[in-house]
Amino acid sequence: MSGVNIKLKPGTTGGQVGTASLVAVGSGTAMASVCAIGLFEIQNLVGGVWSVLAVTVAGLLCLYLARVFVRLSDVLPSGAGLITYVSRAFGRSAGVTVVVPYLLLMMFLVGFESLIVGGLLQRLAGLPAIAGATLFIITTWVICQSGLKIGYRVQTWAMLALFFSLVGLSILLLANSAREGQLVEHLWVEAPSTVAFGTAVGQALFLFLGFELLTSHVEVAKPRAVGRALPLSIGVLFIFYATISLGFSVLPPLDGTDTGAITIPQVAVAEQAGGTSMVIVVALVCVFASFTSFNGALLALSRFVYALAAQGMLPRGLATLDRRLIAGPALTALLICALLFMVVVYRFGLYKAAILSAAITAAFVYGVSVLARQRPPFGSASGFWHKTFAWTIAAALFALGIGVIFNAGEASKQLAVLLLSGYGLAALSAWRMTVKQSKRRAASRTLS
Amino acid sequence: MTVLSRALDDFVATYHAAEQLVEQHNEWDSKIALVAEDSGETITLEVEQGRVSSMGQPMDAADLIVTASQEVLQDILELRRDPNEPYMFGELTVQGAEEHFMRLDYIVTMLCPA
Repeated sequence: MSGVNIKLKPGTTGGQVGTASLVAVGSGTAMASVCAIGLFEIQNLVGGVWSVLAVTVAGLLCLYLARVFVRLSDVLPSGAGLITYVSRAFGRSAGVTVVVPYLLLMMFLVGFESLIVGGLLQRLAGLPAIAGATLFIITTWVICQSGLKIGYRVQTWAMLALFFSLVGLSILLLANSAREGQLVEHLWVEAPSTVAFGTAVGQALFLFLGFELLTSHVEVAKPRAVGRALPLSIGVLFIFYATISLGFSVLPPLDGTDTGAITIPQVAVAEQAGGTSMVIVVALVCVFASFTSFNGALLALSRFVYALAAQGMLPRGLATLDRRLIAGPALTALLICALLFMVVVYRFGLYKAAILSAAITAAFVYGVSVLARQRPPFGSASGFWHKTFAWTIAAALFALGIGVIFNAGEASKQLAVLLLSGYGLAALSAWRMTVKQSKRRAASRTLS
Repeated sequence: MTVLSRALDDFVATYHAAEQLVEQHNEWDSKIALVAEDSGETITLEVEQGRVSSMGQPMDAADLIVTASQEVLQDILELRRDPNEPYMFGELTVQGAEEHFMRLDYIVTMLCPA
């Protein structure tokens, strides 16, 4: 903001959040329990060190994306993040059509994550998984309605607990395997086909999904903190996933860890490395980490729903705040969606489709963001090679997304339904918004 | 008096006339700066217990800084748009705690004709 002499008041909550907290929040958002399942799928697809290589390629892509998001956030320091960047570069309809499916299909991941938490609660307390999932969603909603937002410090502790517990246990498994002389055999497996490896890289993008949401904290962050935190969070996530992936590679076949319809690999890691007591610790850490992420996500999404309702893209009744500035009706609508999506994922077994659809929409959003970086107001006078590189990365991201679609296997039909629903709803919202804008412009012309 | 200052005066008068709305925010204190990024004009207002106590006073530090083009700020102050729309599409940015922006946005949304 050039020419502005007014600063934020010292001591205000704006401009206080530092790099370390942002790294914790950014990487914590991406370290969802559902990602462990995604990582396990990658391990099953390519195996051994090849899964680490797939994570590495995806990580390097995301490191480049981190630089892109730093630029986008520097030019447009908006908490609304992705939708503002794409809208400013390509227009509002493009912003809604590209970004809304990404956010919408994340809700299916919320349903999936809830079922994993339900599975963990089943392990801890014997509750049926779906009852535990419902309890998790409703409890988080009640806490959000009360106005309690989990602070940065608690989110940091949750992330650190998750990171060190799972990484530590994976290292323990690897050490045990080395002691038994089986490590090389587990890690050095036959090379996968190019198509399988490409699919693995596409799926590995999913593991980093959500890191870019760190930009939504720009309004309360210290200067340059977002720019430092974005690449650092990629580094943290890479270490996390690479180590756990290696830990998964030395696991025996997962017989005894099924909880309902979902196999929870992090429970298997805990069981193998430390027995029942370690399972309890890991389960509690995972539930707590999921809760802190879901609390923040629910409150942020309620504000987004409120904004869409205020624009007329959703029922106007959702654009209401109470005295504590809680968007109560929007939160309730999200509760209903979360419960509905959880039931749909459970009933129709949409586990793989939920992960793949999120990976595909993420690939498209990231590719469009790379292109947005090249356009006003974000583009600088970059040279031919810089532009060519950016276009190549964008094309690679789109190709990865398309590759995941064509290699979806038995999840193809479910995936098609999810993608068509998500993009269809987004296109409808964009059309409604355009019609409303046209009417408003026509009304202004009539008045003048 | 500039166009934006006049628009702010009218906005504050309309807000104060909505007594129920003012009452809803009677716990709100805030120093707000509205910055027109194209013209460079900055207008300020201070809110105490939900009422605007002063406007146009020099201000070194604010609780909320709202930045947009003059046209967008004028549209908002003249109640043709609420701030969430330009915010969501990158035409308006804010610095400061979310609480202050949400209150401002809610007030404008309530005052805007449906």
